[in-house]
Amino acid sequence: MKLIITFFSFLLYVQSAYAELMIEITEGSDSALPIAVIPFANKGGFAVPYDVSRIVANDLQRSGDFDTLPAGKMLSLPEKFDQVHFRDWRMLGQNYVLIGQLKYSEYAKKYEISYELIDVLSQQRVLGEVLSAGPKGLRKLAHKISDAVYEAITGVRGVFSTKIAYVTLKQLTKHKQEYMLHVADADGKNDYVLFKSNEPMLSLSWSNDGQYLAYSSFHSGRPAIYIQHIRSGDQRKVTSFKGLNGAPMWSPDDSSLVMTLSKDGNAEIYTLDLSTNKLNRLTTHYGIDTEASWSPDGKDVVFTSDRSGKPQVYRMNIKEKKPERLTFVGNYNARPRFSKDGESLYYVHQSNGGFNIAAINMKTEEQVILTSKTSLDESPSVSPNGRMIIYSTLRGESSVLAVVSVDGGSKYFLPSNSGDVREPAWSPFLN
Amino acid sequence: MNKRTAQKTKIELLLNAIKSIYSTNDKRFLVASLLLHIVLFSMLLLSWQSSEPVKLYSIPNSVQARVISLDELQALRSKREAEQKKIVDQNKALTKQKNDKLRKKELKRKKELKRKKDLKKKKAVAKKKKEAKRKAAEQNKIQIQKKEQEKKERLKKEKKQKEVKQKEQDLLEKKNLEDEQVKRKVREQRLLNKMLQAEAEREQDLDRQLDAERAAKALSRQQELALAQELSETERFLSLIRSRVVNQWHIPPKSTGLSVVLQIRLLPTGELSSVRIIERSGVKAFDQSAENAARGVRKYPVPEKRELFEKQFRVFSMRFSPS
Repeated sequence: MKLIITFFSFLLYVQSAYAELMIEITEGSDSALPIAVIPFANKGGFAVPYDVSRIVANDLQRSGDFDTLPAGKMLSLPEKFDQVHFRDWRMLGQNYVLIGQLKYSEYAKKYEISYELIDVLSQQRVLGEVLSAGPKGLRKLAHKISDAVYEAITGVRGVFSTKIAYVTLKQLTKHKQEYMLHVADADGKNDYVLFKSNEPMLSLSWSNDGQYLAYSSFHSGRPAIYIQHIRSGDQRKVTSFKGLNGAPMWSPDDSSLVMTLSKDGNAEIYTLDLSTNKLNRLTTHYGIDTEASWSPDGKDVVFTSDRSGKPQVYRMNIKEKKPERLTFVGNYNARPRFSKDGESLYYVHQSNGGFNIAAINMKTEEQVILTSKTSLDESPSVSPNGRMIIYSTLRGESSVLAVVSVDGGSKYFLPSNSGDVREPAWSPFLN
Repeated sequence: MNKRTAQKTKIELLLNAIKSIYSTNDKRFLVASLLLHIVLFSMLLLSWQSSEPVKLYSIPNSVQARVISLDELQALRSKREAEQKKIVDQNKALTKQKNDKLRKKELKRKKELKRKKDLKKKKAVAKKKKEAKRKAAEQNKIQIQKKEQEKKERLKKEKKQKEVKQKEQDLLEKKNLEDEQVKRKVREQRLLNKMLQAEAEREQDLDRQLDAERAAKALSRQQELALAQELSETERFLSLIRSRVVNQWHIPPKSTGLSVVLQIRLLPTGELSSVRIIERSGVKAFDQSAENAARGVRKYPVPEKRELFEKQFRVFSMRFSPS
């Protein structure tokens, strides 16, 4: 009897011991998530100005978070859920399949696109929608699909429908240049010129409602800060004090701008209340203080200062006004920008003669260089979902725009058809 | 009156006997009996003292003994029984041998005693004869003296006869006493044997317990070894599974700090039978990514040993928490 009890208690012990078995997974694959974007079916053979599914595939590929399957490797081109042979897609190593159909209504002069996102592994439909747009709206519609797919799979809002602003420089004659302020889709397409000048334009900043751009320009012959309404093109000069008027940036609530002025003899950081036009001086130092940027909560600013002898990044609470140095590695750390969660800071860091975009974790103070393959990198700007950084860099003879993931992953260059491209600024989420 | 005298003579006889024992040169009996008593009492005491802790042993042993299968138990039990039987037999033989030896010794002692008695008797007879001869010669020489002598001799004879009688009686008494002693000794021996047997049994019990303990220990050591082997085998497959899952896991951005636990059910072929989220992270895309990682493994590496598979890999959990 005793033995039987012992035996069963031992069994119990064994049972309970094995029930504890737990495999801990703390790492993931380095490769991007495989997805097959099937060319959308066009049963009627309608003329289509844009290849919607290709735009979607390019968007997803460019994000760095996805690896799209080339159409040539696809074994079949399903149009509907029940046409998807899961075993085939699994064999091709695909986790997701995006299928769609396109119709054109002659009467409404509109395209109707239905798409479905299918999870190959669970064999379930994740997403399905029917959208319609006119011929000109197809590109936007494609970005919308990309956003939806990206968010459904990663849980993070996509930035494919956002915009970027940048400045191009064209050498007209030997002594005459043309500066142009562009606004374009996040993929660099669909761009248009917002402002043109023969004098330089610098430091573009999007208002957080996405309606205005602030920048400094020498358009009037000496530096001034302008605000321009994007839709109407209306431009307003905000400051034109004696000396330097530069590096404006909108506060998180769009009520004020932080900027650099040298009206008091030396480059210092000020805030300007846009409704009262009241200035508030933040820094008081004989060194140069410039390139200020807001923390996401609007309580602090970070800026570049050479008060230590070399340019370094400092942080200051706008009420306490006590600067605190943040960067200690290297002789040149400048133009800081907060990450969207405020946990990291991105800035230009000089090392081995080159200039790169670096990130510092505000908690651990650990510094990493994000752009190891480019040099002479400038003016980083963070995407609204916090996943990407756009910056300008020298490629060959000219300056181009490049994008890097905040974890240093994917990198790509934005195509440009007009000379040097500089001073990029990523818009907030629009609509 | 008669009774009293009889009693008196008896007591006298006994006293005489004791005196004779004390007076005899051969004190071995006394020493032997004394030694025997000492041995007996010490044994009695020892066994009485040791009877307490013996009980104590039995308590932890039953707890320590961890047994796996009834078959093995049965085998172990029968083996142990055989061993015990052997030990009992051996003990029996041993006690028998001891008893035989003691009996033989006793017999020898008795023989010796008899032989000595006979010798004494013979001597006495020879002495008597000599006296008679000498007396006869003297009778021939002196008649008067003869008569007196005769008288004396008669008296002497009577006395001697008396003495002889008494001696014989003494001897008888002694013999009786010794017989009694022997009987007592036998009784004591029997008692001793019983005690010895009890002691032996107790020792056997102890031995049995010790054997059981040893066997249990050996068994648990074997078990431990098997368990260790199993564990290393399990660990091997766990790491194989881990690496497969890691390869399949595309961690969504901004997942640091999130954690999801899945319950995995496999078929013996290593194919996934089912995935169930048993602890959500609260972020749908993250939970989905983990689930897809689990589903993404086409075939889980699992041990061929069915027993181990059933134990560890039929159902297990995976926690996904990016560092």
